Amino acid sequence: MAATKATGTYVGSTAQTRFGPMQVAIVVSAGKIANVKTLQETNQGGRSVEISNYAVPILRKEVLAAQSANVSSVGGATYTSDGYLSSLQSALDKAGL
Amino acid sequence: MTWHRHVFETMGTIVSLSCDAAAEPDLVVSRVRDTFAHFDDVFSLYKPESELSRIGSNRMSLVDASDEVRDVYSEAIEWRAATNGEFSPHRPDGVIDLSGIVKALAMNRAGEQLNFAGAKDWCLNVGGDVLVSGLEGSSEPWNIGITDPLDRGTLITSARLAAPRTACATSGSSERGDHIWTAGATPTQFIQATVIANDIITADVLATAIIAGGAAALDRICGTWDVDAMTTDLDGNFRMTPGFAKIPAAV
Repeated sequence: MAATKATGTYVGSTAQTRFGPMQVAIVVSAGKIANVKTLQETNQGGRSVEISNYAVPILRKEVLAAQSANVSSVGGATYTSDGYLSSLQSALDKAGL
Repeated sequence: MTWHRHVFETMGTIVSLSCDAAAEPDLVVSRVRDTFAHFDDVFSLYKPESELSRIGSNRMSLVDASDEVRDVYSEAIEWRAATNGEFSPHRPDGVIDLSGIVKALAMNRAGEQLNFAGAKDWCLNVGGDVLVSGLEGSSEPWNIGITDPLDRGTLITSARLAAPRTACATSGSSERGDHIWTAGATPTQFIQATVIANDIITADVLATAIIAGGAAALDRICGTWDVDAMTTDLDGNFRMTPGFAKIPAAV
C-alpha cells in the first residue's frame, strides 16, 4: 500500500435527525483527525452553520491515539482501592512520573 | 523546583496527588488527607456511625442533620432538577445516598486547600477523576489519559487540561457504577462517559447523568452546559464534542 497519509476536509452525507438535517465534517491532517465539525442545514436557504457543542459519533480507529508514556495522570470510571492496583494510574504512581 | 507525589487510600478508592513543593509538603498532604477523611466520616454509607448512615437507618431525621449535610443534600437536589432526574441523591429504596457528589465536593475542597497552602502546579486524581491547577513541571498543560473501558490497560485518547478547563470526570456502568440510578427503564447506552468542565462537581455530576440518561442526556447536556464530553458505547464506538476533539492529544 502507498504510504501517503490523507490530508484535507471530508464532509459526510446528510442525515435526518430530530435536530434537523445534520452533517459531520472532519479535518484530517497526515492521516489523523485534527478537528470535527457538526454542520446543520438551516431553514435560511439551506446554509450550513456550525453547531458549537454536540457530541458526534467517531470511529474507534479515527480517535487520536494517546501514548501512555506521555500522560501525567489517568482518568477513568471510578476504581476501587483493589481496582487501583491493576490500573494504569497505579503504574504511573510507581514509576514516579 | 522539586516535585512530590503522594498516594493514599480514602473513600474506598485511591488519591494520587502530584504537587510542586512551593508549600510545605507535609502540611499540604495532611490538609488534603484531612479533607477527604472529613467528607468520608460524615457522608459514607459504609461507616455505620456516619451522619448519613444514621439518617439512612432512621436514627436521625434530616431536619436534625448538620448544616453541612443539609447543604450538600440541597445542592444534590438542585443537580437532580438540573439533570431532569438523571442524577439523583436517592437510592431506589429511598435512602439518601450522596456518594455521587461527595467525592467531587471533597476534591473541590482539597483543591482550595492546595491553593491556600501556596501550591501552584498540582494534579489531584481521585479514583480516575482529575482536577488540576497550573502546569505540569511548571511548563506543560497536564495531559490526562482516558482509559479504554473495554481494555483498562490501554488508553482511548488523552486530553490536556488547562484553565479554565481544569476538571475531568469519568463515569462508567461497569465498575463502581453502584451510585448511578438509571432514570426510568431506559437501558444504559454508554458504558463510559467523560466530561471536561471548569469545575469537578459539574464534570462529575454530568458524567453520571450521561451514563444514566444515555444519548438523550448527552445531547441535552452538551447543548446546555459549557462542557466537553466523550462517550463509549457497548460496541466500543465513541462520540465526542467538537471541543473534546480539538483538545490536543499527546502524540
